Amino acid sequence: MNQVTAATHRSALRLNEAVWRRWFDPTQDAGGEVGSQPDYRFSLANERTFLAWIRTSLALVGGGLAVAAFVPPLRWPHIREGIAIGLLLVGAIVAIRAVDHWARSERAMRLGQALPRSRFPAVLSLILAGGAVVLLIVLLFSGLRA
Amino acid sequence: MIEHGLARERTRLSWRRTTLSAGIAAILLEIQLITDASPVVAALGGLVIATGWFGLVMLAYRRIRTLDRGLNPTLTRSPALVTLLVGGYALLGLIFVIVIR
Repeated sequence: MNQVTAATHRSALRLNEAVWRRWFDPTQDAGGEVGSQPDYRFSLANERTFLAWIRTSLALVGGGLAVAAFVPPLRWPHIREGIAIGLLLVGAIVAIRAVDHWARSERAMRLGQALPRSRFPAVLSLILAGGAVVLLIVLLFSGLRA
Repeated sequence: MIEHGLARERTRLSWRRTTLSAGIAAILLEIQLITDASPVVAALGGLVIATGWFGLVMLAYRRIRTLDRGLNPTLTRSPALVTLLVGGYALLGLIFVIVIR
């Protein structure tokens, strides 16, 4: 039983390592070069999509920093810090997901496969919309200023 | 199909917009440090933040040069490095909000 667990653990580690390596170079894997170079315009479109997600991430990080810097202390303690930390965390997750999706899309294009499907945009929208609604309710019931 | 180089130009502008967005995040981070941290922390933090931003500008510069010269545009490390920078900014912001404030 322990051997099975150890083997699973080892393969999970190898998988993680492969993911890491793919982030830094999706054109290579353990078996050498992955597929063949697609039409470079597709690669450039993938690159622009990655950069657009990075700007989304930067906007969330900047929003979190702006909340921490410019929002006055609210009536409920720590709610301002909570909003800032939430935005910074979501920003970091968006950045990591951006490079993962870029690498998986690049790999799929090189192998002539369908692009990876993703629920991430929908999940992100729901999280942000939910956060906005919760915040609105908190502000309505507690008032703005301390 | 005629290639007018629009894909390269759009990609170049996208890198430019990204450096501008990162610059705004860097300024917001530094404003926090100047307002609430000690002068030494603000100066050291400013150095780290500015070095990171300069690294991003250099990545963008190299990328734009590659695109302009019509060289092989295959990307390898740059996206992961950009992610490290943005993640680093988010981490610095978290440290700031949790520890210093």
